[in-house]
Amino acid sequence: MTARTFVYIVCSLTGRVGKTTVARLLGDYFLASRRSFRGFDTDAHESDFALRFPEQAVVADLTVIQGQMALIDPLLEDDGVPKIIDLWHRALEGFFSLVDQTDFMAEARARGVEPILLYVDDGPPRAAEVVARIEARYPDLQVILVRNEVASPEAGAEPSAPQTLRSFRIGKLDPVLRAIIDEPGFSLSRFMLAPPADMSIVLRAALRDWIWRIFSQFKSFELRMTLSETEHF
Amino acid sequence: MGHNQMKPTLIMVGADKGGVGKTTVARALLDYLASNNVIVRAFDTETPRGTLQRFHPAITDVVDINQTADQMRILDTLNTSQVKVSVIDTRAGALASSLAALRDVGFLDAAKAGDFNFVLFHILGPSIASLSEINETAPFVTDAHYFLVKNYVNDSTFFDWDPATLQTYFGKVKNASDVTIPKLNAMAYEQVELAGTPLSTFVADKTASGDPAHHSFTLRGYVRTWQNKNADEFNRIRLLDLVNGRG
Repeated sequence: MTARTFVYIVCSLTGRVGKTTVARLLGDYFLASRRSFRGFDTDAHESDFALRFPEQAVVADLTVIQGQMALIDPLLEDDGVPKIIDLWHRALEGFFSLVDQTDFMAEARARGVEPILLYVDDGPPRAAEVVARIEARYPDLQVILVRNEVASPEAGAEPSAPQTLRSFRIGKLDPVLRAIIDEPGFSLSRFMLAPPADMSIVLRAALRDWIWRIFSQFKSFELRMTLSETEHF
Repeated sequence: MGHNQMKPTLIMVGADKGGVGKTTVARALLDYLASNNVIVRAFDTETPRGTLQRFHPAITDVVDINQTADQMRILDTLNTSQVKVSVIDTRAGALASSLAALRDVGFLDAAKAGDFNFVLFHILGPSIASLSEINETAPFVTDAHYFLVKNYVNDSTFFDWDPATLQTYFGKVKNASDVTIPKLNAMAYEQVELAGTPLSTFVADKTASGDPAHHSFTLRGYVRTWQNKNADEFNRIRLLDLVNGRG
């Protein structure tokens, strides 16, 4: 089986749709399954993702060449370590311009690195338009729509994109639990591996349930990717 | 095409002031010609140390264009059957005098007589004063393919020349047209300078001796995109056709 390395690009054209939450969940998913990942936070001003994962993530400011190199060069290492990019919404166009300037997609393919785009739903008609543009520009790029009901409770009420598009769903979260996980020191992966004893059983169960529903979608996705690879043999 | 030996081509790259990126354009040209399998020799007139030679040592001689012996060397190389194209990277500020030197050894007459293809890339500076340089050069280049080059590599801004004004200058030269060399990211440019290799070698991530160079992919990508844009431009002006005598 070819060693493939996945690069998850978590993005949206709109701010405040819960992009960092999605990136965070993905990061904690890997940590909870006792795997490492490398994270890249492209918001140099509010680097919440990098702050959450000081050992795994770095800040990469794409407005300067050093930040571009700090992001793009490591993405091409086929080392089996998943890469997660929290793509600041204002950096989206710049990122794709950089991808085109450097012919990143072709190089990634040549090195066995597979980019996966997770577009965090910012509602119709924008989400459908942006996804369509991305798919047209990069026909070989896998695009997944993420409906984040934590940030946008009305998400999912109306389809933002063609139903044929793969999607992940982040379910609604009770405000009390929301407050708990928003605490700077709270780690979702540490919670899954060793739930704190001082937390109420009810809250623990509810949070574990919420996380598990999300993690199992990630797990199914990884399994599908593995199976689709072995199908070629 | 027949069995006749193809006419050799002399490409001169010059500017009347320093700092306009003349040697950068010469390197872009050499790289383009090499990738199109054109056998090229280069003459670097920045004696004694040279500037172009560092990047293309195998094909570049450092010469003094005002010395008869070196002038004859250039002409002799032009007459060598193996070498299709000779590129002269003239000393900054010495374009007009270099052209005069070539005129004095009869080269311009030979070009006029059709013995050589003569191509001039005149790298312009960003101010309107550059246009007057064309006045100085025009008398020498009546039988040349004359390209006025705007070099944006270092992000220069160019005075937006009034089209009528531009036309009066262009009008002085028979075969004049313009070429644009686009901007290249400063760090990428610096890295290529530091590497001191041909552009394609840098993009291929190799050192001059063929070992892995471990350059940043991001920077190599920027250089490759820049190379491709230059190639589009050289294709647009049909440089290969000029070199092959089909211009």
